Amino acid sequence: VRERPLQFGDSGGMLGLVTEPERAAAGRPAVLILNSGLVHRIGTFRNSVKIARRLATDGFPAVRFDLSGVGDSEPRRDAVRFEERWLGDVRAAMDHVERTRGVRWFVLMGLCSGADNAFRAACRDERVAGVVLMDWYTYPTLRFRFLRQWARIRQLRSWRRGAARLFRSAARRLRGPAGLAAATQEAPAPYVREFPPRDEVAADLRVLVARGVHLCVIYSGGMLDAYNYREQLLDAFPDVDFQGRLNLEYLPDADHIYTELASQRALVEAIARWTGRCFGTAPAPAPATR
Amino acid sequence: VTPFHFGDSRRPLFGIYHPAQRSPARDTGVVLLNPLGHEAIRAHRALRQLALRLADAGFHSLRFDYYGTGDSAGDCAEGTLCRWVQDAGTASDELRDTAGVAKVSWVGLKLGAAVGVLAAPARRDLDTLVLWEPVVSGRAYLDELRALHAEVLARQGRSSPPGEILGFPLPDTLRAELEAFDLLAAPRPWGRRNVVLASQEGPHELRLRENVGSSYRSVSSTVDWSPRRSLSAGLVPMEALSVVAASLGAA
Repeated sequence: VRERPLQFGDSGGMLGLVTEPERAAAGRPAVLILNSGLVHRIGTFRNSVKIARRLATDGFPAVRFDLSGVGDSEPRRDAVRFEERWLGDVRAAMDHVERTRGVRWFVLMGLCSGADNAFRAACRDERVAGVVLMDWYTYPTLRFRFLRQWARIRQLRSWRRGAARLFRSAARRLRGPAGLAAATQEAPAPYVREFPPRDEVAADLRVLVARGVHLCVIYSGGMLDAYNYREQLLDAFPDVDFQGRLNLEYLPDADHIYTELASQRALVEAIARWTGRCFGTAPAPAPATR
Repeated sequence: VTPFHFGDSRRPLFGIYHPAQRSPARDTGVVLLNPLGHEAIRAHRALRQLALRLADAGFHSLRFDYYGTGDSAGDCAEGTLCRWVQDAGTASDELRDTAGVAKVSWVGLKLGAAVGVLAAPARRDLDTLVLWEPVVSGRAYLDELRALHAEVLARQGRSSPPGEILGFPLPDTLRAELEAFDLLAAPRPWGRRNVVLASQEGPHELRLRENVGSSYRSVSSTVDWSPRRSLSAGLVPMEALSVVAASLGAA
């Protein structure tokens, strides 16, 4: 595979890299990998690089780029809301790749806020033939609530057993020289994200399915307080007929940012399998409606 | 800014060149040396801001990723300290060619400082070497990372698998190189001037202060480069950036 830097956008202020296959197969979509939060284009633990190189080895051009104000892309000075700006950035990236590489179809991919942006961009742009949404929106279901309560009860029982042990070890740490600092260390801030109303998302999903868009949704085990069993997405959207276009993966052993190498490999494999299956043999399907 | 690949075309390195935004430009260019693994990701924004600030002060500068890291070629498991030391030299040659400067200064953050001191004796064109929160003892640094890794995984009720550390492989060669690294025992000379910048006052920093003497600067704010908040929070330690820039003469 070959890698090249890309500069695009209004004043060339957007920066990214394209990973290209040795021999590009005609009709294949290009894969665009979006930022997760404020992590620059290499992704958490360089996972976006691993995904891009694997997909390029399989024949798909892959583009990693920074949204405006993230990583090495210039911030935009206009007064547009973040979400709108980012959708404009994704469109600019697709325009650039279409113009310079003659690619007509795209797969948008992202983790966390990247998934949210990928989904929103897919809804607005008919060049999008597929999306990979990692730890995307979640909606509670009856079974989710039951499992969460059950986990809490179990936690409470083990808590009573563990409380004495915990107290002893805390006391020991406090006595140590570094004890106070360790005990007062700030807990990691919870990640706060806002999800749109479920009905709105259901309507958008129906539109994407009708357009023939392939969906790969992957949940890690790092969102247990929001997603805690494999089929939760299906149960949350009983009113959406995915027509076989949804590939739902659940990787309960992985955390939200795929810290363990084994989980990173599982993620890359899951994405490569899906991409190969949906886009590896035939050109992207023509949208059902234009 | 200009993003580009350089070095051996079979194993290209990726860099971003920040040309000086003021003329006349200074005759010393600045190469920024990244820290290790997750810390390089956390520090990305800070190093970019530093490069922009240096450009405003008339310095040409180059940020780049070592082999097997960031946007450069190579797998994460292929990284070695020895290779990164060579990369620092390659990047310096590249900056001299691109910017037409005769001398270079280096800013090495954490493990980047180790790369800097190991690469320094072979360079006759090295002006200032800024060691920003340098790794002093490689062994102690590894222990610190291991503890953090264990803490992150313990929160998920898991234990850390061998051969990896905080989301990245720790191949045997790199581990051995890190364990053997001792900043104070590293061969000299380093730069024409050496500046140490530290925000902690642990035993290693005290040893360093005694050893480096007058060019030791402490900053009051402690920087958490750990991956605890890598998704939701950017990290630009303004005070440290000012001190680093001032150390290079960019007041």
